[in-house]
Amino acid sequence: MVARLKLRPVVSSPGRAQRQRERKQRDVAEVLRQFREHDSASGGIAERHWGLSSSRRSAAVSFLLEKGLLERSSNGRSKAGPRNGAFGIHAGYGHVVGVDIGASNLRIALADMNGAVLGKWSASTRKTSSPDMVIEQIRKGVQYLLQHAALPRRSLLAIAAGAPGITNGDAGVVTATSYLRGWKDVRLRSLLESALRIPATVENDVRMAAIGENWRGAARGIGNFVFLALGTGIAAGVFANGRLIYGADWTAGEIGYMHVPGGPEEATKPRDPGSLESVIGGEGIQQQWLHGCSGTGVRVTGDLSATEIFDRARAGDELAERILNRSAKMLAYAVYNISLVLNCSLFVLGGGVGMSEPLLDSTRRFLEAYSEPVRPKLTVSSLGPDAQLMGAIRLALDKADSRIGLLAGD
Amino acid sequence: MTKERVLLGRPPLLRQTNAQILLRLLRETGPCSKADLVRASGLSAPSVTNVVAHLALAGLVQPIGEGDSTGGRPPDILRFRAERGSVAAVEIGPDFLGFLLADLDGREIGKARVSLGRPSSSPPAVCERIGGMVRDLLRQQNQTEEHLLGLVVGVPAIVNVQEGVVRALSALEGWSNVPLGGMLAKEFKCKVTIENDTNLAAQGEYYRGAAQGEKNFVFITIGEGVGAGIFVNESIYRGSQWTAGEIGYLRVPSISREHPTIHKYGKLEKLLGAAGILKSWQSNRQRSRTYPRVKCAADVFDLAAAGNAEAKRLLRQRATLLADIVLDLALILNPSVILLGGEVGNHPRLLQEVEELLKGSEFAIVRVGLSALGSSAVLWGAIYTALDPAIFGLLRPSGPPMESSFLRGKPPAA
Repeated sequence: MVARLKLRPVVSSPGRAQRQRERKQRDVAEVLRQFREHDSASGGIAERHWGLSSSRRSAAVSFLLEKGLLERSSNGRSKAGPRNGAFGIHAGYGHVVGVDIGASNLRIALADMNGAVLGKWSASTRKTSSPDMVIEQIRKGVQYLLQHAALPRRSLLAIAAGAPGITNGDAGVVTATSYLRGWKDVRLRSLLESALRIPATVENDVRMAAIGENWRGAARGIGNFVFLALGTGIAAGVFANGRLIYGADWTAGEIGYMHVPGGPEEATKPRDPGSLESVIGGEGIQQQWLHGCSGTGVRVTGDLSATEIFDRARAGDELAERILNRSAKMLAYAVYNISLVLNCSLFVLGGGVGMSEPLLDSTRRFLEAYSEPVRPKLTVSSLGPDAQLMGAIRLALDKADSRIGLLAGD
Repeated sequence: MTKERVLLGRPPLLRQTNAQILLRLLRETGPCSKADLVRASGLSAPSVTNVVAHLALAGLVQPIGEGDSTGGRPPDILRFRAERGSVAAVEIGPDFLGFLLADLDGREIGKARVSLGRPSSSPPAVCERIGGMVRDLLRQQNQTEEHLLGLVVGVPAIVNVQEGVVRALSALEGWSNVPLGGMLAKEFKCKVTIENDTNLAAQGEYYRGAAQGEKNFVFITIGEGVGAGIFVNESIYRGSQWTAGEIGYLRVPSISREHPTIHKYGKLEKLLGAAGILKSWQSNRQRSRTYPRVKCAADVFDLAAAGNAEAKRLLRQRATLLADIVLDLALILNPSVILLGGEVGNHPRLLQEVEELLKGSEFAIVRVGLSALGSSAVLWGAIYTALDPAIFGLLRPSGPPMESSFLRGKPPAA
């Protein structure tokens, strides 16, 4: 006779042991988060930042030391006490991959547990942009990077990828994007997880860049700021009270269709660039340039990028100056309106067009003229094109950290 | 560095967290037994016993006799003592003061409204008036000042909530950088909070109005002024300098189309507010006799509803402005709903018109609705804001005051 196994119900009200396990996991996650936020490499973490009792903190720290994720560092110059300065994240514990899926390029970076980039790889997505092809490219890129860094496959702990479209992070799905052909309701997270067999996170590319700027860029440690990506399109990644805002349908910050004065009057048709986008998006600027050139019949210099057009304005080209002025004026309106709604202290401009210095200067001038009642501060991304990748690395690290935190329960 | 600053995780605080869990259960589900609490909370039986004793000591729970036995000793049934104390809400309007007194269940137990004349509207006079009125309301309930556990005041101005300072209140004279929180703290022993009225109205709608359960929504009020209360990630968002939602200064295309030369700040507010609508109507009236006489802005919208062509035109104009605002807010924040409130904003004809205008937009599809609480939204928001800190304040272990803000997200740094 076969003995009947008595199965315990999997879901039960959490008992004492369960709660202790969960608390330990939370503590470990919190300690890791603190090390990331305060960049352990730069020194110690003041006692008041911990928010954990000393006994629970040291329990979490010793767990992490035992697992090898923290190490005693020689860097003890911190004033916060030798105990705090003596530990750092062990960079070589494992590795993570950050991916930026762009309209024209796929970029991949490999980083250690401190977020130091060990290698980068990129490929064109112009011809090969279907989800399957992109996943295959990512697999190839990761393999290349691992080989190049002489790292074993098992040292990879997590991957994070950003896509240029509406992305539901909870479900891990890229709902829609106009920049990649064939991308509709793509289950990017599970595609990545089954291709690479490591935990994955997916995020909208602009929000990812905002995370990058908040972690290592121009908005380091700032809880209320807006990252404005100006490239082919225009979108905002918004941090409010230290957290990204997503909105009800994951579309917060899709400001390409925002209504500000000075835009085209006719109602925008679907699939056309939005009223804001058509004036300050990269393609809109190029179109204004071509249109202007053919209008005057003088010098048809096509193939200029938006940034080059703006540079010409600085050199004294009249048409370029007109275009720059119009773009800067609309951008200033958009910044002004967003800052009225959100009262955020900083705007970080990024993306191909956003990095243009003439645009920054002119926009600042317009903003100063409005002046009341808000005066938003405007700056340019300090990570530049790497903002997305840095954000992806941070997200992948967070994913890896949460997995390590889960070990604390065992 | 003082050790007291490390609060989380210490035993008294842990007990407090557990107490909050049990209180929430008792408040939401009504009277129940300890065993029920153990089951529903997941806490251990000894913890529950311990915490219940603590709650009973604070006067917050009370045994109300034995329940039905399921075989053993009949269980003691516990109930939340909502009458343990009360919280007061005050609304400072342009020409009135509104009051609402509620028990710890948020049930209304007293209400009053007084008009605010010129000489009596200076900050000290208003404070005195508030003190007198709140004490009157308490007396009517046979309560002493000891019963009052929290006071929240809504002001139509930018407010530094952390410091309790009213930046500038244009509707009343002598109100600029008034430390109202500090002034009222001298009148009352309980915790006093000052907050922007629109932010309170938004929280009122979240508490018991049209935004219940909405994690991301915007409440637009249009009355004398125009403003928005923004709810993101389940809490009110105030911005870096407490001015988030000052949408009366937005620059939208319809303004530049209608008034291409005027770009003074606050223009939108002046046009869209009640005074702006009345002014447009009156100035048109001087030119033509076909314009009927009106008393307030809502009358103009009523005329539009009745079919008056001129009123319809004016309504359309204002709705276009509002639709632009709604669109921009929807794109920036992607809220699940945008509620319209205030004397002008709460008009169904305006909503209908805005909805029609937004229909053409393929983007930023957002539900627009009317405030459900109307003119009492501010007071209910104040009650909602007052309740949790008032109740949890009773559980505070001796020591530094607990930051209750972690319950509802951190306030921004000033």
